[in-house]
Amino acid sequence: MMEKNYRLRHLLMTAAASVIIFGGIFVFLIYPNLTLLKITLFSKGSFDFQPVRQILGSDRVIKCLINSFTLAICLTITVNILGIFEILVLDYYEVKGSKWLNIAYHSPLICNGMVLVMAYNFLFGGQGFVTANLMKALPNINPLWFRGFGAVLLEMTLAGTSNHIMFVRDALRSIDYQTIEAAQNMGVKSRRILTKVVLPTLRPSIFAASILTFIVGVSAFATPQVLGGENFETINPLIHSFSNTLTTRNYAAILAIFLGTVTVVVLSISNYIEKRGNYRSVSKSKTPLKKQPIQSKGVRVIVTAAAYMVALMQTIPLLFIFIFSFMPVKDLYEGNIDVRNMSLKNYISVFTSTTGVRPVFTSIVYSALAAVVVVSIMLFLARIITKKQTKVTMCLELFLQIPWFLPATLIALGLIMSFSKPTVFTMGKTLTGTVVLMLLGYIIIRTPYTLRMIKSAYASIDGALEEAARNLGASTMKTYFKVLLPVLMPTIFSVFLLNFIGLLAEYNVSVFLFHPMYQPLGVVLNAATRADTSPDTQMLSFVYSVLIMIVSTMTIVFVNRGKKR
Amino acid sequence: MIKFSGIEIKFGDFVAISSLDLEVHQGEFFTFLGPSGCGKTTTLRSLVGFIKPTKGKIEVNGQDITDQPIEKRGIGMVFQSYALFPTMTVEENIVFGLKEHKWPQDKISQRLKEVAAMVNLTDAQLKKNVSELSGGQQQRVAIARALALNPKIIVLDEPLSNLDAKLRKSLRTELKKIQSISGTTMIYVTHDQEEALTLSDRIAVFNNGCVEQVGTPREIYYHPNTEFVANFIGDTNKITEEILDRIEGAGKPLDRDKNIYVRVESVKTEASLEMQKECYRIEAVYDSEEFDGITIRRTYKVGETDIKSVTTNRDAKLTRGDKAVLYIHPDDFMEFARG
Repeated sequence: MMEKNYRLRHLLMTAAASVIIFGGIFVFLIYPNLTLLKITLFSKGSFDFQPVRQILGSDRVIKCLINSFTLAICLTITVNILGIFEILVLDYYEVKGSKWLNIAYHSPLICNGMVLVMAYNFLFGGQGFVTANLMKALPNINPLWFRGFGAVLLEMTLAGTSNHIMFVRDALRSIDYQTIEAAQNMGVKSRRILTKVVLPTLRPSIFAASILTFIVGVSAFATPQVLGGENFETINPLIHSFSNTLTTRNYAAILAIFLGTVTVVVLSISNYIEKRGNYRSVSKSKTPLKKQPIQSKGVRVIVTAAAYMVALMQTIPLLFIFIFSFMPVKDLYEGNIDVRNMSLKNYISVFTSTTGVRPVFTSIVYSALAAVVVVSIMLFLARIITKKQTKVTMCLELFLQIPWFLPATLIALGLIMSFSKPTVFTMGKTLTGTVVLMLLGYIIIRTPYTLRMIKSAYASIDGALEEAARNLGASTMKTYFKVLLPVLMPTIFSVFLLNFIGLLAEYNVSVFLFHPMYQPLGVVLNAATRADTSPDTQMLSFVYSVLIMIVSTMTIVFVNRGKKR
Repeated sequence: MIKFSGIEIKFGDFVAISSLDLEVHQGEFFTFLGPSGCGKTTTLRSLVGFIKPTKGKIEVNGQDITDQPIEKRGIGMVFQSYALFPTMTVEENIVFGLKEHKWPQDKISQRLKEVAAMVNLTDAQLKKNVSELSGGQQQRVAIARALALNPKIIVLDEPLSNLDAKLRKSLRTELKKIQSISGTTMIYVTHDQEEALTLSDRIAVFNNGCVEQVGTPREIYYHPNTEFVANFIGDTNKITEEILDRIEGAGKPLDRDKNIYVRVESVKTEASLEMQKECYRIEAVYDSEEFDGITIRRTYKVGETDIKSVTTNRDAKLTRGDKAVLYIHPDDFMEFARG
């Protein structure tokens, strides 16, 4: 009887949980995309392919699409070259001063997204610091010299190595040194060892980083918007401008759907290729990696010089933002750094006015709230996925990865258009234009990353721990809260922090979903790059950037310490 | 006390255990012995409740526990990886189960002292985090944690496999002592025959999801029921056609239709005249030796076939190619029907 009751209770709970989970997934991940499809293909109530043909017949649109994909492909190549070079310099080759290089190569984790775009704009843009000095030396130079494809690619390449520093580097460090010694023992030269033993071992993680880089490239928004100029327009800024007016919203939807479809196709092909070439480590007892000397003096000098050059290029924007935050606007425009004129005026302006401090609070509240919610939900869902490996949980995992495959623009547009009217799913409420929508957007875009990290944390727990607790009489719930959760806590906290800093200067989704009263930092920083923005507002954006960088640095230090432990 | 009846365990289409019948008596030190993948751990886990049998019944003291939840079975377990909770101290690990069973605080303290003394854990060690202990100490904690609830049955899944040889030997002596003091029925899983033979009251030898033989260590060693058991336990020589062609003496010829084995210690290089009359005789050529401190294991060649012999005689100085005569008593042959 008791057994029957238990089973019935279990069945009812499973049914209720399934309805809530799949209902939530449908409402927030599938329904918005279906709405977009409906707007795209059924704009006048019946099936109509005309708007699609119209938009894809536009030269400007085709050029934007070509630009986006060219950027994505080139970026994948350049980021891999730079990222692999950096991790080899840090962990594989003996290069002097690698401790300093290590700090410098972490700057894309600290200074990225909208902050870095803004830094480039104020260094190399029309009103930029470097441009002002260049114009003093070469009066005939075009003030918009740092514009177009090259500028976008350079900025995004220098900003894009964080996946290599975070994940590919871990894979390099975990290579069994005995495999390298075995190759040396067989008389293989060091360059061949690198290409035949080391790099092939890194292939899965390089592939994963490449996929992420490709998505970043194809859905690039703020960088081409600010640094691309008229000659290098990409698809996302175009979608944004179409979405601003009601009459062209369906064009925005069509483009977003098209971008999403192509991305999914490219990723499916990549996944297929990746699965075919996968391998597993067979090392029984791993020996830690030892750094290799670069035998040729000439090569050693070149590699060291290049390593420091890259370090400089990655840290200069960060340093200048810090310096700019203390400068008066006049000095910035004239390209002068005068220590005597530096003050805390900009900082005082931010912290003494409601409008100044509001973006900071808005971003902190939204980011923290979204990070807490997404981590809590994923703790529950990742547990189900790792515990019960069935077709249903496989589907669940696939659905939760939807935001990874779709450009942020598509997600944002889907939310705006789906919830612009009262729906059953939202209990008769309109969400578009409310403070809730951006929070939803933030939660959605951080879902796949959070799921992946928490799932691997669950997988890394020795299954015997749970069995031991059950064996000692603890119930499923007590086992989870008393044994598993404390073990998971460091990972949970790291994921929370990484989500938090990832959202702090978020722009791609925020620009569509923010409430006019509560502008987040990403939107404020982007606005600061526009020529029509007041100089005082521009100076405040440096203070915001410094604050973001400080929080990011603290987070990275904390997460790295946790990793070492 | 514990009775497995007609147990079948399937993973998808793969049959891990097929129609297993087994009985373990109260207070016994019982060992599941077998090679990797033979089903011994699967059987053990079905007893604890981590795996539900596809068919059959498991009873403890006459009560059917096949469908009982894990936490209600009251069977202690020591895991191969120890499974100590890394966020807790030694003490917290040991009393975890007691707290879950809502024991009063004074009884918890008393029981903690008792089990800590049983496994030789000091007060200072009890306050440490489990990660600060050595492998041997961690194993003691795992045993103490399983003992704490005073279960009538404790199962141990290869608990000593992560320790070095010396520590393994000393801990296994302690384990046997703990078992006799506590009177607990222990089921021990191992693939190490030496461990099984030295510790167990009885052994079940597993192979391919079936039990090949159940018996005392001596029964298993000296009277193996199957060819697998004869080969798996101890060190044996197979009597090949080549040896049969050259074997002489001792009455009736050996049955060529059977598979015949002889243990290495039963192959003698010296025998009294009386023994020589009773034994079979094989002319062989000395090939090599392995010295392990107490014994010398010598390999001889009979044609192309190797035949091994173990001796404690360290005086004989042999050179490769020296001729030798090997003696085997007829009672020492183990014969099994072919097929």
